[in-house]
Amino acid sequence: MAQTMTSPRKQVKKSKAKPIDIVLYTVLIVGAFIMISPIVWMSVSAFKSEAEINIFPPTLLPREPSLESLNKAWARVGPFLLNSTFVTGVSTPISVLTSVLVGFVLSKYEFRGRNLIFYGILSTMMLPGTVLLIPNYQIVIWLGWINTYAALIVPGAFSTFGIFMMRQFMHTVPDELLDAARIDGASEPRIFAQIVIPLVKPALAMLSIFQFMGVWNAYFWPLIVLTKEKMFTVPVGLAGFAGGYEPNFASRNAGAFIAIVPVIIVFVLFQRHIIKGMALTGMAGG
Amino acid sequence: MIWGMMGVVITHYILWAFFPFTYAFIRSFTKWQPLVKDFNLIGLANYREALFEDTLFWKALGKTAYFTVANVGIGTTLCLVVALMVNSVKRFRGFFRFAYFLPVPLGIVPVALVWQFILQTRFGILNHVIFSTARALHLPPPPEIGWLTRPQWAMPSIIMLTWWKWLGFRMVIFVAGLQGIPDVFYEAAQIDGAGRWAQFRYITLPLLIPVVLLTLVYSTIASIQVFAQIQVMTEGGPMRATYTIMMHLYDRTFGLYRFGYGAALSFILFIIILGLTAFELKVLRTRWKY
Repeated sequence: MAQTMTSPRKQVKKSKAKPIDIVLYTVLIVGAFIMISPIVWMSVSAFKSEAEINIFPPTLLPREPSLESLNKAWARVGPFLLNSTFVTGVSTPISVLTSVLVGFVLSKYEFRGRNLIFYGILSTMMLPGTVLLIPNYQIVIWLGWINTYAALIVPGAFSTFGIFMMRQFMHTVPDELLDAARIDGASEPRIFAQIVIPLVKPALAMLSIFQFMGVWNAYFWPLIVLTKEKMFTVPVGLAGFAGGYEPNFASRNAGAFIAIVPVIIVFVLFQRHIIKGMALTGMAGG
Repeated sequence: MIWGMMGVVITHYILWAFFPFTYAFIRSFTKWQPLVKDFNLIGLANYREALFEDTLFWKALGKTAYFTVANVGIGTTLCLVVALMVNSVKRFRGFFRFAYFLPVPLGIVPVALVWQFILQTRFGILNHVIFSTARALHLPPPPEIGWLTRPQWAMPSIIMLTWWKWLGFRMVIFVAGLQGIPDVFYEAAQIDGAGRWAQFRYITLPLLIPVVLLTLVYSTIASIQVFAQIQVMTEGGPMRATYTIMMHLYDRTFGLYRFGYGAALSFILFIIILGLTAFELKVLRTRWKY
């Protein structure tokens, strides 16, 4: 990005520490602290025993670190993690694959009705989720899919955002390349697998991360579609901790910590992709 | 082969988007309950009830408006300010981006739980920090603030949480937008004698408008439909202080199983969102065009 684009003239100027810079840095650092501290607090508190969590006044670092809260929380959250892992593990590859396929077809093949289909799909992005929630729920009831993995996976099998993004990205794949391959006798599936996919890898990576996070963190839909605790995904199960059902803050906090750790790991590993991807999507319409 | 694939895609979207939309619309004019087979056409009764008889509906709309204005208006401004600051400093940008963006990919439910713990009146760390800071500065001890227990603090708490969670997201988009503005513009302006504020007003702001506009539209749509953090942290209380329109819809639809009424509510919401979005696009586009 533009970060490294400094004109030669700028590099000659000696940078002096202006007072405004000190103010800026201070404010930003304080802000960064505010951003991070709840997460640090939660992580640190996850290693406190139940008794210590309920001490007044609250302690900062654990006086006697213990795995008690985490163990207790794991007993309940463990099954939720399994469900979430399964649903996300199945849903993400499916939605990414369908997005690439459909994006590819819509971009590189001419056929009647192509634009109608594309804009039709795009138009569904304009619908706020709320409008489709209730009828989709009714459909799930008709299909007998309440409390099934199918209800969590099938409706999300196609990602409108993913299709849109992949189709746009396909523009970077030169048609000449595909034509050349065809002349050489390569079949269409082979062209797709061996030429197209490697060329769109960065977009694939970004989309995968988006989909992963979207499915992993999804709340409202799993909430209404799942009623049996053994089927709960992590967000739904954790929310059950909130009301009066688990008044113990120790378990709640530890449970939240367990839920967040996978996401933090993914984020730390892929943060450049994630941030760049989000920035690009924000700019895409601008 | 292509037709086969398109067939699957079309079927999927018809099944999960076009058909449901139409069906819900039709059923919003009926008495619709999940396991009841009858069609029960009742005309505009659901809509009439929502708009003219349901006081909770209007109350919820008010709470939603409160939240939306704070989250979209003040929230976006906050993000813009931070983005400008991050863009102005030369070093540690990567660190700031990481730190501010960190809350974004985390699930809203675990985050809400953590904040619930932090904002706990007696055992929460926030009140403790406030108390300790006041004591360290030799100020009189402030009262224990009931962040989630007092009606006047509940919505501000939810708003703060939402700002915290989404600041990094909007900030990153804005920073990308800011970096897209060529330096030559600023240099030319400087040569012409324009001060920092003028540069901001006549270069930065107009060129950022498309990005800001997009963010505003997304935020508005998302804010109106806010649900998860409220349901987890306050369940719409205390005393319905945080009872937004989605809480109302959820309660009527999945609490009372009045799907027809819920569908009507969702379509009213749809119209509101459409209207607001069109308004935002129109007003902001014409105001800043030059």
